[in-house]
Amino acid sequence: MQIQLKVKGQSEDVVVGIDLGTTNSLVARVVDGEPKVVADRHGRAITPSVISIDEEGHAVVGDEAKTRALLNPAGTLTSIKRFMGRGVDDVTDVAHLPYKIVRADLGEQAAILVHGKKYLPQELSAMVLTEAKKRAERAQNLRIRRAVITVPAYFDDAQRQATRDAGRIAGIDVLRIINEPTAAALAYGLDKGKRGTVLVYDLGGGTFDVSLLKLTDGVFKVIATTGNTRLGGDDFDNAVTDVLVSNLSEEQLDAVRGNPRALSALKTASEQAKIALSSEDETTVAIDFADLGVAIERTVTRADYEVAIAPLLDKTMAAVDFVLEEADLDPEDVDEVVCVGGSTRTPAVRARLEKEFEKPPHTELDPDQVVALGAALQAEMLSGDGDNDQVLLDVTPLSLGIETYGGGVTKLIWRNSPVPIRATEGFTTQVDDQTAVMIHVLQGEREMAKDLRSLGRFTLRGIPAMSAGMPRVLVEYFIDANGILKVTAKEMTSGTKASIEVKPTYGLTDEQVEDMILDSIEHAEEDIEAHILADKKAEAESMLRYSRKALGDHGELVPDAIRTGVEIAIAALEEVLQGDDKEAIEAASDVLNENTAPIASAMMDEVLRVTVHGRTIGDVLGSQGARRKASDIDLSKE
Amino acid sequence: MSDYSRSAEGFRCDECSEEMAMPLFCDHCGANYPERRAMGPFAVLGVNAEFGLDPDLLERRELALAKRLHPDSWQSRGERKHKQAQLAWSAVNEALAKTQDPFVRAETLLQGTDEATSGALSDTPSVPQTFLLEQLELQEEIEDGVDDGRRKVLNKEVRRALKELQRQLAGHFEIIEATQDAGSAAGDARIAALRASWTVVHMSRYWKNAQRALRSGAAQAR
Repeated sequence: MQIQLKVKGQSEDVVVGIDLGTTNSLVARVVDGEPKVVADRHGRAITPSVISIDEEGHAVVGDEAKTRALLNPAGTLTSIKRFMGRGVDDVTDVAHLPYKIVRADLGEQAAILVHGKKYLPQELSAMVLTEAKKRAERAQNLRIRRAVITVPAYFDDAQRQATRDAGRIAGIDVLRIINEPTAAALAYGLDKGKRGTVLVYDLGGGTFDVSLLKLTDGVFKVIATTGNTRLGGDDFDNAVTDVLVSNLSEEQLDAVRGNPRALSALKTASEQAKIALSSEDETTVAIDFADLGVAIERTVTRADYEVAIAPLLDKTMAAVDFVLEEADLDPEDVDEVVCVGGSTRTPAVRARLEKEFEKPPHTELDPDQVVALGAALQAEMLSGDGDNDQVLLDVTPLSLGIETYGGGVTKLIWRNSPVPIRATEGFTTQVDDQTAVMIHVLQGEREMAKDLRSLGRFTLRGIPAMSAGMPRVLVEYFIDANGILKVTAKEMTSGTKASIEVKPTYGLTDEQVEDMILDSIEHAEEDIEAHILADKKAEAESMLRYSRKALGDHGELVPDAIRTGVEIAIAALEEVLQGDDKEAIEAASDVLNENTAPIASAMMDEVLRVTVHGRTIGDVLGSQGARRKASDIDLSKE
Repeated sequence: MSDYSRSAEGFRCDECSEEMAMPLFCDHCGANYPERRAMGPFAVLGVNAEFGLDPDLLERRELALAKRLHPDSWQSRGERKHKQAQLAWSAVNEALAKTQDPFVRAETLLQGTDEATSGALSDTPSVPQTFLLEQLELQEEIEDGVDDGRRKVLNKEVRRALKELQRQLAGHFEIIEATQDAGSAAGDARIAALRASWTVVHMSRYWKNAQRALRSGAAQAR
């Protein structure tokens, strides 16, 4: 396919690092040797990893999507990262989510059902990546083609592939999938010129990793890593939620669980209370779901909170013990401890680490930004633009094996092996004239195939017809620097190259990804002016619909002056939409967005008040309203 | 084995004549010599093939090689060269896996002896019956599940046992290495040391399996 591309005049072609987080995403790039996060033209460095899809199938991403959570609860998608590379049966915690998980049309993987249409997690993550990329491009007149994207170190092959595919669908040449704790170490190491053994404790929005690294003269060598891809700030929020609802009756609980809007408000309240408790001794939450007959008023002390999260902290410390054991080290052998991820702002987390290692953990770099900063450094190294005095040596987090006769497994590559690494295994045939062999590739630590993660089934074809046991098929497994597996095969006696047909268990084949790239107009045509205009117009139309709805359904919550402001802004946007002036549409959209924001805040305030010492969180954090400020210091950021 | 010119310091590349960091891949021009994998892991890393290899030396070698030929610095220099650099680095990783751990290193060295090649070491090593029974018991205990405290005790026990086996190996390898070039003149002492080493390596595998099971158990408990 030939696509005519009109490249903008002076836009600068740059490589970036992207932290694709459960809650928030960030873009960073290296400027004059220093990694910096890229803020958009509103000064926002963080793109919330939130997508809101309306009934017409139009999607908005980021802050705008977040403000729609209450109006469009069933179409507002959060924590997409939890579904990357997973099957429907893996997703056991759907109870907390206001949207439906279904089986995808392709393979076993999970898809999300919104207004009757299925979306794959890869597509949704691609939307987040596209938004983060566009924001950065527009703010600084950049052109982003190549990027390093981060993943939790404990992500398996399917989750890594899904992330890489999301990048490709977003039109990004993915230079590398890099582990988040490793990226963080890189950002810290460069800053301090450190030497010695470093433990990175990375507690993000939805995932937890712990990695041990050895730093020597610019070589960053990961010795061991482990983690939990279902433990993060979200769970801290849920722990607060459990405290908040502890006095409700079963009927009241059922009423709240069945109501997406109530769940959404409860989640926001829990998150705000958690943030408040990082700096305050207690906070009071008042929520009134008048239509459900449920009212909650509860003071949560820091002690309550610490009791509620203690089991979660125990799990993370068990993982810390595990990596130390794996590396044959004791706590006193660790020279530095580094805190990464917004959840490490919780004082109890830092206190536990300080107790274990008898030294305070490093928190100098913003725990929300440090992963993106490290990814930017790695992007610079890989693009050949920077001077390469740093080298990263990483490991594969999980063992790789193949299914053997009787449902057992032979391990070919052990966990914590340095990558890239290769392993070979010979196969032969069971019956005369057999020309194909099936290989089932598995990942994980258990001993039986049924307990392990199925990565895919590989069918070897084109084996020459011979007596049983005669052919010698050599299969090569190669884990590349991304931690992603490639399989190739050769028949040794005849020299025939056997062909391999890959069926990923929880992912897309290369062909399917190619199709999705072609489908995604965003990708190739994004620089065509006409497309940008159409895109802006569609976005503006969606915003108009949303604002009219907000005004109609909830306008009475705000003073006349604000209502009038929204009406004027609506009229102004309708006016410019008649024409084709991109800048004017953009400006009018911004004005409308600003004018509508108080309605969203008021909707939230109507049901929910989180107070610290009698003041609302909004007052404590600044006058802009709790939602906006809370999102700036969002604790559950990856 | 293919032709190559080895200078006093190391290998010279056939294509660009520069001195290479390691024999498989030229870190100057990207020329590739995959057949030299056959030289074995010690030669790939450029260290002496001996049991008492200093772990710090191995690590220094790894870091020096990483700085000179890590595939990341080849990523922007064409897909083919990048792929070859990745395979070369993977060979370094495989060589490290065969030399870093003392028991695996012993096995690698034993497999390289003339006696192993001629089949004199091919019988399954005789492991004491009592040892096997002990291991069976340990295995059962771990499979049934152990609490945190017991796990720590067992872990210590495994570490102590492995340390003792390593000490024994060092003794056997003193004899093996001293009789390296003596051929048949070394006679029974050498054969005995080889067999004893082989048994120790075999025993270490049981302990390593127990260690792995203990750690996996801990991982699952989370």
